[in-house]
Amino acid sequence: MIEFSQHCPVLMTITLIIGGALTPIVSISRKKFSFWWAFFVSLLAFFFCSCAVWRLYTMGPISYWLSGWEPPYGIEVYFDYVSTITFLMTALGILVIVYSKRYILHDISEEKLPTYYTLVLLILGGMVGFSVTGDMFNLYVFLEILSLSGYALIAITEEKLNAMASFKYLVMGSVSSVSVLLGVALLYNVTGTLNMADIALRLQQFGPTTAVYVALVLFIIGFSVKAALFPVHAWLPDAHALAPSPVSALLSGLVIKIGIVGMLRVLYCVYKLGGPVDFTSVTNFMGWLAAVTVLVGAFFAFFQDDIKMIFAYSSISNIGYILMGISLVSFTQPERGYLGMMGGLVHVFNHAIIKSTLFLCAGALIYKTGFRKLSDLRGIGKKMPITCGVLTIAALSIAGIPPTAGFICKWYIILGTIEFGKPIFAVALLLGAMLVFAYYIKIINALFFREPNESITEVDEAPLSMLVPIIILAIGCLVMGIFAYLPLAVIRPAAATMLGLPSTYLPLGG
Amino acid sequence: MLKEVNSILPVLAVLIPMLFSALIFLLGEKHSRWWGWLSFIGSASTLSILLLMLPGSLKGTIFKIYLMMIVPDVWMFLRVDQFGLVLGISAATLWTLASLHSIGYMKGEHALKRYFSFLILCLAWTAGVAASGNLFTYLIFYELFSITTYPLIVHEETPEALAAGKKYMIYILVGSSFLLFAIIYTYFLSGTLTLSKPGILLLTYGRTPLLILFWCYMLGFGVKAAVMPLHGWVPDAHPIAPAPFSAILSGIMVAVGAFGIMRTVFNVFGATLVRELGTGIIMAYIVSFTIVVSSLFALDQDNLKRRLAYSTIGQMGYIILGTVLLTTCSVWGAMVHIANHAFMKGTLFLCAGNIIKQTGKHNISEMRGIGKKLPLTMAAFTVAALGMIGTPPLVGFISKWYLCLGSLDANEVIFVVVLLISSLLGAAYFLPIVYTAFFQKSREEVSIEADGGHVTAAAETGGRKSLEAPKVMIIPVLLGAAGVFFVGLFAEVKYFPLSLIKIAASFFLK
Repeated sequence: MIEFSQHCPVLMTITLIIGGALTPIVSISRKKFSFWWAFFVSLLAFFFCSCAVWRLYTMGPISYWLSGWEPPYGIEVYFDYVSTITFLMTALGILVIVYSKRYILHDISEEKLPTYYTLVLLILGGMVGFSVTGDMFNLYVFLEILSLSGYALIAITEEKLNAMASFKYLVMGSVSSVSVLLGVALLYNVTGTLNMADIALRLQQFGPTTAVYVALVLFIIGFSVKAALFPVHAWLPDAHALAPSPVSALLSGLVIKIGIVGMLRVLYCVYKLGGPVDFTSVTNFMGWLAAVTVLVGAFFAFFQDDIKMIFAYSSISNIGYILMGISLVSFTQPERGYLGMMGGLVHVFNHAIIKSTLFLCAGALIYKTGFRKLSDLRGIGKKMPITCGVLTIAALSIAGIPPTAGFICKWYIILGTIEFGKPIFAVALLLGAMLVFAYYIKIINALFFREPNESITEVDEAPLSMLVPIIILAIGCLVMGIFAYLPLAVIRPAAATMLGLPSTYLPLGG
Repeated sequence: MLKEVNSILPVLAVLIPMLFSALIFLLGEKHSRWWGWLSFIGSASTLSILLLMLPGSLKGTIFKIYLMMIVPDVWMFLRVDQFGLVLGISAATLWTLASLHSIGYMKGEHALKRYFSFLILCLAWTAGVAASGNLFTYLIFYELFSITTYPLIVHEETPEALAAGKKYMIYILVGSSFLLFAIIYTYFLSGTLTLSKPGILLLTYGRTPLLILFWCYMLGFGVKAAVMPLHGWVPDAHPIAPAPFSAILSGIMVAVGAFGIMRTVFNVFGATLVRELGTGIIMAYIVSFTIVVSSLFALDQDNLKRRLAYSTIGQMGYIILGTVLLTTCSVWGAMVHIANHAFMKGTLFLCAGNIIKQTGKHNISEMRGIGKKLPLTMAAFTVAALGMIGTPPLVGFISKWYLCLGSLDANEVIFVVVLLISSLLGAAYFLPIVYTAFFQKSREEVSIEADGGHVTAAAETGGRKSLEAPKVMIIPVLLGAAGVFFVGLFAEVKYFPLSLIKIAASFFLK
């Protein structure tokens, strides 16, 4: 078992990518078979991922050398505490695929089913690979795999607006990919290696040259676009709101987190706190941008009537929380950034769960009624009580009402801002959360308390294949809050190792 | 002497109403007549669970139980001390009366399942607030309580109700943001959140942080406790909610805010530290302003429930005034007023409910002669109104007696004057209602006399027919009035609130 689990990080990436590539072939005679194939592949990936997480939990990080070539010569796959996000990716992948079974035929023709499932598996494979690789060039390759699948998935419905949104995303995304690629090239030029751990070591020798600084800035720009940090967030609302709902759930829940994972890898695994480059001026600046992002996202969400648009803007706001959390670091006293880092990391997980719940619920409403505006969805709560009930749980959760999942991040990030001596960030966060809740109240009012819209009188509850995923996710929203120590068992060592502290570091009397 | 024992009772007090709420939610339309009775039985069982703790509590036993760890080092911890028990028992009593009253009052209304299941769910959260052993647990139940009341406030679903609900939500959200910040800051400074000590903050943390913290708490809880100028939601939300729920809003919900202020002063800061900071006296002046001004506003209201709402704002001022004066007698007066006010204001709102349900009249100016039509209701109303004014031997007198004694102990005669002015104003806005009801003639009677005594058949039935409410509505009202009388008469007897409060106060002021 131990021998086997060591291979799991590689196996899950390969399973998803090869499984994705095989989808059109296996479903050549029966298009609908592609669903069962994708379901099977995602289950298999989930199984491998569970093994890897189990191994991480019992024996610590896995460093795996492809074909046994020792790094820096061979490619290294590194499954550490941050990589546990792959657990979420594969799990959410299964749910999204199950959900798509009924939903996606609403948006695309049966002919295109294999294409759709191929792209879903590839985007999952790209994200999983991105999170486990220990090699800079692979990082770029996986980034491209997932971005390209993302553009295609948005445009898959063939609507004009979707093509526009996808193109907008493509333009911004290309800028981001090129920056990352240039950054990788510069680092390779300076250090002559592509392995992350090796680069980190050699940077110590070479010291801070201009190229190293430029590379850092390029990485930050590249990943900021992917994460939709203000002011490079403009592509997000259209892309996330117009994509088919299961795709929105993937994009908003997971793909924007890739930007975060990328930043974590570059800042805290390659450049490192206490390393040759003092990057805290960059992270400080990022912290301020994050505070603005929180407010901008929350503010614009306020004026939306389209339910998915609201969720998309709220994603921007939430990315602000996460970035605020991970940018509160001090170069000389790493332990001062611990709580904020923990809050940011925990929200990477929690926001993924909450936001996919919201998008999948919105999808169920759109699937059943054909409406996507709040003003048209009035009174739907009486017709679709389960969907709307779940949506309410997720809405309370994203507003950070204790004891739901969203509260945990508020708790730790505010603790972090105080510990770091920047309570002004806490004010921005609280203000953002307040605005967020104000418009979720608007949603809840529209769903439950407003005069019902007459044209939706014959609507009934969503089909089971859509209800089961959203109910599982809603339970996740509650469990991640009430039993928050479960995810924190992984996130605490993750935060500590990111800051270069021993993985057993426990502050505040813990 | 106080001793702590592990006990399951506090959990039961929270779980039983939750179970009943779930039961109501699951019962179909076919059993709709059981919804109200289930909510009544649930409240009564909660009350009996709390009463089981009474004898032990009087001997100085504190019932506690560690439920589970939410985040590392922070537990969900229930701990029922004497003061918490007073709030718990008052709440459960009022809930029992109000749910019985609801069965009659809500007959024929819409969305009854929602009403009753949320009504009883609110009791669970109130019991949780009363039983919280640390600020984290407190925050969880407090927020859940705030959110769960929303569907009850907007129950009518009219535009006015939604507007009042929105106002309520915004006020509460702003308050809870301050509260969250304050609690996190407390945790950061002291490393603990326990409510089991007489004060966890020390002067060594510095005056400025402590002052910021104190006012954050006051703003946070002050919104709920309706301290002017944070009272805006009260006069809108109270009249719009269904009358039995207004009784709870006014009797318990607002008092939960005052309860929070008391916990802050006694358990977070500690009496000694508040004295050293000198903030108590500033707060005392603020609430004196509240007491006087709210009474003046009350004079101006013609809508009965709105007048009662303003009176509530003033009464909360009493509780806070007694708390911040920090003398033994004033603290006794303040604490006992939570229970006393719940009885009085609960009865008054239930009476108002009877008037509205039976006659359809909301405004005091239309209530001429209703004393004859609703004799029992108006008799109960009179008793409770006299209690509010502070007539011996009713409960209101007991609170005022100790509050005045406390002010004298603190050498602050000005607050005695404030209390007396408030009593006078109370008489000025309560007695005219009683006068209008009993001694003025209704329009029908006037027209009969104008006719020269020719009694027409129509006028006969219009003027004399008894409109007295059905039993389920009249019994709670009479029980409430009896409570106002007997709890006042036997105030110093064992098993009545004051005996518990004396134990709690001696611990807090030690």
